[in-house]
Amino acid sequence: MIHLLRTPKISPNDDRLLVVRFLVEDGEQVKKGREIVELEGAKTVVAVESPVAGIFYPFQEVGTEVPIGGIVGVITPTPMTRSDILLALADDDTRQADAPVPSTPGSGVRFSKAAAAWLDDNGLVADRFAGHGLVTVSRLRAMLADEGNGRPNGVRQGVAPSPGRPGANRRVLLAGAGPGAHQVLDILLRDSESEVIGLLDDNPEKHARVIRGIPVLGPLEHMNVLATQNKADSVLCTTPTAISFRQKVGVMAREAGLQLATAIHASAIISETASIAPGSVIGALCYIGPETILGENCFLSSRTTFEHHNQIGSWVTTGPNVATSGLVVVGSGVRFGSGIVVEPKVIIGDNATVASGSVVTNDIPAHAILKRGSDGKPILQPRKANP
Amino acid sequence: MNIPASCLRQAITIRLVEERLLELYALGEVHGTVHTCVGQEWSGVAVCAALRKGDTIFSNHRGHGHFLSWCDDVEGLIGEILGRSSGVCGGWGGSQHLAVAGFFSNGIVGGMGPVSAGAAMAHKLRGGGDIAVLFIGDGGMNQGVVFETFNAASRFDLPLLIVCEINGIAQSTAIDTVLAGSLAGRAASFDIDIVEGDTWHPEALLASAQRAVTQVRSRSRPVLLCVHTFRLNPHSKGDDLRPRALLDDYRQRDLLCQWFAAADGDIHTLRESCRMRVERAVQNALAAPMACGIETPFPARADVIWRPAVSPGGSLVTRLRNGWEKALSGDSRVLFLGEDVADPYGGAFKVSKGLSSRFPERVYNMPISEAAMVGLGVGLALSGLRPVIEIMFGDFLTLAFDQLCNHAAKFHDMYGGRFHVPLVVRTPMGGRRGYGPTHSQSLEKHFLGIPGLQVAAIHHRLDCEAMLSRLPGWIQHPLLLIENKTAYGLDGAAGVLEGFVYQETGGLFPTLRIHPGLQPDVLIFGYGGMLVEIEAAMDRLFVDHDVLCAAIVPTMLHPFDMDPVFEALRETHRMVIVEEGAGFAGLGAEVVAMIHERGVGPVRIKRLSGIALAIPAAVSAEATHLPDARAIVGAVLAMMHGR
Repeated sequence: MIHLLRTPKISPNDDRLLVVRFLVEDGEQVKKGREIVELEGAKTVVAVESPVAGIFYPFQEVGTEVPIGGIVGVITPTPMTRSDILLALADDDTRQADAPVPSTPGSGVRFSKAAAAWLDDNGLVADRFAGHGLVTVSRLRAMLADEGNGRPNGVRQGVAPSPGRPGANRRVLLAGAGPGAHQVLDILLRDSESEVIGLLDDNPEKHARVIRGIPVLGPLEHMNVLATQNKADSVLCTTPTAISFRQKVGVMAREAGLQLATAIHASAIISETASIAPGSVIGALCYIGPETILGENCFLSSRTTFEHHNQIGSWVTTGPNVATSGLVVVGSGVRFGSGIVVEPKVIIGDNATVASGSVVTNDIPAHAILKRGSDGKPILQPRKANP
Repeated sequence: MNIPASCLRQAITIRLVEERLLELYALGEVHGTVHTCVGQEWSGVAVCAALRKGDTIFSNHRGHGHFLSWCDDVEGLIGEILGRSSGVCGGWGGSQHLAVAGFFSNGIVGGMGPVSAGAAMAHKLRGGGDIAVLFIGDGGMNQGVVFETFNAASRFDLPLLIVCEINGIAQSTAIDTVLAGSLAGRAASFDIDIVEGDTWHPEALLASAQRAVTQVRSRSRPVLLCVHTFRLNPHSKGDDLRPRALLDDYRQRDLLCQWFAAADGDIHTLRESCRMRVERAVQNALAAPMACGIETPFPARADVIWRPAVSPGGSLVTRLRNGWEKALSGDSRVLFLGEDVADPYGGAFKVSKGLSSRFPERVYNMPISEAAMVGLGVGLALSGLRPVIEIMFGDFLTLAFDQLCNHAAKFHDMYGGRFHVPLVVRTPMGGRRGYGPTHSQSLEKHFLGIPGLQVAAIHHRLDCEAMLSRLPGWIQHPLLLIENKTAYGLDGAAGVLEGFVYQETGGLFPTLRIHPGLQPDVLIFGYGGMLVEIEAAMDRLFVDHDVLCAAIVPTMLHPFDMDPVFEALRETHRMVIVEEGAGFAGLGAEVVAMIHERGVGPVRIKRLSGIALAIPAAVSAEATHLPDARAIVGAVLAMMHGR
């Protein structure tokens, strides 16, 4: 008798669980009640115990998401080869109790008209999608994108990040001479690879002033001329919250043939496998986890944590102490206050705003605002008028 | 005078209880009102003296005397009227709504008529010789449902004694100013025998009642016992416009008034002993705790667990017929009543075809009397049977609204949770058949939200054969089962959407979920006959428009479980609600309200429903009137494009 170890339902929020790690080896003899595997849902991690004594064989890999009721592994009374187990299971009626299989024609796939046309246009063969159930154009795109960059399945493709690491800043112009400039200067003045040559600001009162030894050279509209005069290589925006200003700086920099500079505090920890697009400010004690992608021109205040497998869009700004768990997706233009915690796999839509002190457990639609009520409970305000 | 001592004691007790209740009322101890039967006591005493255990009484708003004559529960009555938990109905019924084994009263004049006939039918079916009794006043003899009752009781030879207390007044209106013809004429036209008596000659009245009861019992035929009497007190309190002299005249004629005037003698001793008993009951009631809540009849719902849905083969009408056949063969308490349901016709939509041939003693044709038909069902259900009433078209349910709302749905709660009405009323709703404005409506929304009344809607994918076969064992509270005319011919297994997953929750009335297996763009919500339109729309949206939709299709509409909707909406944040009936204040409106109460977050919702006009008969006009797959596709696309 082969016992199937299935993913249990642990909360109403989770329809699938992430395999965090196995606590026993492949083929290890286990006693009844031995903890076999750790599974992670949105709110918690649980260990699943063996219902019987026997030999454990995993049927999933660490990092995969298994639907509730799906098979994580099997426990057999005697040592068996994998193919023997599969043969035995094929005869086992209990497998019929698995999650219902969509009724699809022979090939197990059904294309919308648009998806079929898209396949034609892109010279793709329908056969490779056999068994995928209903397929729409957006589903095709997502599947192909997943194949292309090996990102985990199930993470929504909300943003289009630029992978890789930014190049050296060299001679930097800073756009904006407000308080944010002090934060950026604090980083760049210690960075041996950066030389800050001046600040730009549209407020005439600030012109000809000097901040930490760096002169304010003139208004933003003169970026092209001032960059040439001062032999600038890159430009970096210092204004955290004005997203339209950050976008404008990005456009002007490209027009002026300048790189976007990046300011990463020496105390920040960036995973080897994280991707940081240029143009961002990453403050003291920040952490960017493995496989996390950060879009361009973001401004992260101190102690911002974007854990593993996050997808962060462009022009995202954070106050101090913002922390996301793994597999979070943050759209572009999202503004975080300070002291925010985001649960795993949450998706925050473009241009959403998250108020200070929020604990984000559910998705936030684009343009919506998550506030905290007077009782401390979150209030999700409907999206602002279409931008 | 030769009146049994027990009758004397009962009449005196009734008089003393009501006089004491009026005193307590004046002291502010009674919440609400008290209708006294002072002057009419001998009616209940005489009738109950002729009854036996096993008989069933149905009384009215002036029922204290009937109640005490039947069960002599002085403490239960006083406790009830004082709103104490020691009352017979735990304080929920009050003066007008009393119930003990074999006794039920209600405050809708004439409304208990068909219910009493149903109980009489149950007695007849059981064959034990028990009878049912209906107490009604001459003021109630102009209610249509009473005539429906007379007709059914007489035609079906039901052992029903109708006791008409003729006090000449309907609240404040003199009967002769509003009554055409005569009571005798009414009875005669239905071939119902009359026995007469009056409360000024209790000895003769006892004999008349005995004669009437014996006749009902021995012949299994209805009899009308006319009891001439006089209500010495106002209808309620202070609302009496009759001349003082008239009242004084009748007070002098009243036997109890005459006896109470005596300062000694046997009657005086009896009266004192009764008075002490009443006083003890009053003190006990006053000391008892005030009434508290009863448990809701519908238990809290369990977590939503989706399991694979069965898509049963065969047309819906065949599966319904098979289901009822299984219900009838599996449970001898099941009765199937309705207009034209018997063979060879087998019902307007052929749901009952063959049933009367197989179960001739339990499947009957009914007269065109929707109110009486449902009322009969209430009485049968209250008697422990499992009646199923077919209303030929859902549009005709309005004729039975009072029986459903004020009788079937109320009894459990207002009788303190001690009695059940396991009644099924089933009916087809819906248009697209060209039957026009009075045979095409979807009126179920008018029956949603009535406490105690369950409303369920069958769709063609439901395994209704299994559901109906289990229904008699499951049902405890009245259930209105909505079918859909256009769904009768649909095969439950045909046309299942390819690529979509069909799942349902557990229980007898599962909620169906149709899911694309991937993140859907929009959720569609609808029930009953709309499922076929929803499926067509989902298919077109996927194939032609590259849009994935999920659907939630509940079966139980009231009490309603929102959890599947909440769960599905969390996925899409966009929902189209489609109802065939007029949308204003319908289930869709309630769903939207509950979504906002729960605070699901920013959601976009569109509602589709029938246009707020009478449903036209013309095929072209009807087609534009009712929401269909095209309308759903349009609404989903509009929502996808932000409109």
